[in-house]
Amino acid sequence: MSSTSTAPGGDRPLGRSLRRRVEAAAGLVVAVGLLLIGWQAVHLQYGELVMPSLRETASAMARMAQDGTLASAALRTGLHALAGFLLAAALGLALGLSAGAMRICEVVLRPVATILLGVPAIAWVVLALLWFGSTPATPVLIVTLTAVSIPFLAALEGSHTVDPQLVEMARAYRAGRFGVLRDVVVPHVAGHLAPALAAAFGLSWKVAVMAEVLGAGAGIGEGLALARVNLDTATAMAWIVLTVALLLAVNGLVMRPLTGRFGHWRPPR
Amino acid sequence: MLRDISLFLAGPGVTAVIGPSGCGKTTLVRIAAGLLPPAEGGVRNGFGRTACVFQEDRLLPWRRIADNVALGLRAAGVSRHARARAAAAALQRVGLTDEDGRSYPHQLSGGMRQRAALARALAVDPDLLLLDEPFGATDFVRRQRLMAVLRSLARDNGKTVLLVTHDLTEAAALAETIVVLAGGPGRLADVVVPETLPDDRTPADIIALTGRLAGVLASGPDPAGTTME
Repeated sequence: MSSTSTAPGGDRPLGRSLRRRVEAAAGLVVAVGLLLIGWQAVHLQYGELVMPSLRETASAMARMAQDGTLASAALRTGLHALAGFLLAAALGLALGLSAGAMRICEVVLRPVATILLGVPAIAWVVLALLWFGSTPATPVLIVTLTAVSIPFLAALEGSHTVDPQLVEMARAYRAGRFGVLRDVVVPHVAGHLAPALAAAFGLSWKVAVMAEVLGAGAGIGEGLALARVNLDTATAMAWIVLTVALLLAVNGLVMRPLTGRFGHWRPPR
Repeated sequence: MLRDISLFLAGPGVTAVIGPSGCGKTTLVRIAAGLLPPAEGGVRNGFGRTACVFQEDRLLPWRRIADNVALGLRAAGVSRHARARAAAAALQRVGLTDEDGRSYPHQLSGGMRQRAALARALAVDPDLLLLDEPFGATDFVRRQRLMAVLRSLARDNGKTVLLVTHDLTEAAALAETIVVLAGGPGRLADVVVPETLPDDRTPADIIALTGRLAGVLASGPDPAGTTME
């Protein structure tokens, strides 16, 4: 059923993990290279208006970086995405765990979550703008409404799949209600939750940009909308590159290590 | 599952429970452990501390082996330092190393995990030890050593052990008293108290006793419809 290896310290061999990292880095470089080549090819074929050259985009980006628009827009979008995400995570987790513990909560909340999941993000943008107008809270609310179902369903699923044998064992060893929660339920649910939170953050980031494009607030999306009005493709591409780069950076530097922390006890895949 | 069974364990010593599969041996352990309320009657447990080893290892996959072993001590409010010492001692008693203690369950073999589960029970220094087929995944040599550990618990430490097993030889080698259950629904078929004490039994005695137990099982009051494991 399982391997009999007993590596010291309980970690997988260093050599293998290092090789994987090098492989992943090389793959990333090749993928980005291919995308850039494709980008430049489209530019050469269809011209400046359809697709700006790499050089043109880079200089648009440098210009915005210099006058500070880039940083302030990134900061605002980041705030919208992060605030919305944190709200969604806290709300989803609390409701998901209650639904897992109480049947009545689940019966009511599960359909609500499913319906929320089905409402297109764009519908929330329209509704939020109608309800609240363009306030700083509008993009945050849009993000929260769009993302909340993901942590909710993950927490619910997690609390349903807790191993009853482990719960019985903990009770046999006199762990109280709190002990069972701390030693059995929470670690199990955390394993389900970490990847869901990473997915929810990615969604939050994209929805924040989208909400800004449609006028819900200042940020990267606002810049994108302005570039569209001016038919300035180079600036638009610069914003898009910034959006993707920031999302990848947050995923790689924050979300991935965080997910790893919750999964360290799992057998290596 | 079970009908009309009353069992009185007066320690110290090993009481083995044998019987065909599905006769409710596991249910008996769960009732004795207080995990399952009996439909009728009750359980009176006059032992100070009770610990349970299940058929499955039931280790927490997200805790290192040493922390798993110390689980019962944490609930009892033992200090961190004392917990670590007790866990290390319990691991050593079942033949696991400090290095095994630092591993996660998935890194150990099934037999090693089973021994860790036994160590978790030993760590709380139980007066009553409930064992449900605890040596399922262990190899022959290990099994001999663990059986010696159990005997020493009963003999030298004055502990009471209830051992549920399908292995007649195990029962014949370890137990002062052997309770034989019959299947469908599980009820008492016989109670065998051999003339010799387990520690005095020769291999020939054990073989003879195993044969006697097999005879009792085969001639149980309801031989039809019961299957031997």
